[in-house]
Amino acid sequence: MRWKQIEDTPKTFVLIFDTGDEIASLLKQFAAGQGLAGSRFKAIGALSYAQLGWFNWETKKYAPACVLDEQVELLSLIGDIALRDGEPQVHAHVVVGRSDGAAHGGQLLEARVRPACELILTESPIRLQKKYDPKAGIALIQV
Amino acid sequence: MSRIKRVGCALVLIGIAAMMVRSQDTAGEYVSPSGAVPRGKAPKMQVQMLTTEEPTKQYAVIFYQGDEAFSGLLEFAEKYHVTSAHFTAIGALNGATLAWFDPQRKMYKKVPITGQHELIGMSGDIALYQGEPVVHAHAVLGGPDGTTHAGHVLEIYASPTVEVMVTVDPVTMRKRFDPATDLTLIDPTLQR
Repeated sequence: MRWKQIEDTPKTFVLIFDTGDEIASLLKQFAAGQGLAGSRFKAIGALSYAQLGWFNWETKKYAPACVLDEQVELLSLIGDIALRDGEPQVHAHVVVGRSDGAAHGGQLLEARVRPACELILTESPIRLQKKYDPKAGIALIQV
Repeated sequence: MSRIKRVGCALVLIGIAAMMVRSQDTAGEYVSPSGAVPRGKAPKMQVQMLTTEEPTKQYAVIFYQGDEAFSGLLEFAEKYHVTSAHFTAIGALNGATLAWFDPQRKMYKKVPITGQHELIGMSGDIALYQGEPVVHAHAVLGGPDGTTHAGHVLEIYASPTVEVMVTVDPVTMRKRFDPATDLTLIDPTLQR
């Protein structure tokens, strides 16, 4: 993955992922490395493998929704980054398109790039904080 | 002969009844593009401004369990005097109403969504029509097996949260009524 800062206000980065890069883990590393605390991003590209999640309200856990071990278009990846216990937490959702145009989507669990993925990220000067929400069973952004 | 007539008569009656039921269903399934948006359905909504002095303002608009996010975004726009904005959102929901625009009827056909879904992506904009903000949003929803439903957003019930990142421009974007579709469309040349 290669990246470049393209603007100062608002602080904006371009991240280019190459074949074999796994988006979720690299994005988490990038967020930690840059100390991101209030970001939004979107991306498009193509993948050779994707694992999508679905939030199960009964168990309060992300259940694997589907695994696509095939070439798919990354039609849309939208997400945000907020701090949880001082650490940046990446929250991202994806829609992928199969060879017949059928769409699948869910929470980004794992996405392996082939051949490329282009991501634009904007970091705000104000920090976003997440707190554990006992009713939801997960940490939610609190403002 | 009379038996055949009776059967025929019964079939016609059943047919009429079926048509009546169907027309009632269909009437309920369509909504006018200019339908009123309710207020007060997102009592837990929280707003944080993410910029300091920049003319283009960024906000995080966060909805919690049970909040209806579409009408909530309109309330946000009214309260913060938004005159031009665009946004993206992710989250999860329990129940939603999407819609598909039928150009023949000039109405939105409702697509009801029940149960827990990922709000995989929602994008949209806010512009003024006759001086009042109008929210226009499209969404893709994901079910437990990763299958998707998508469409024009009428209602989205957050569960547990919907995170909307809004960019508010320091200009005014206006909509005009389009008689060909009965929709209000953004017209960048409109001055007032």
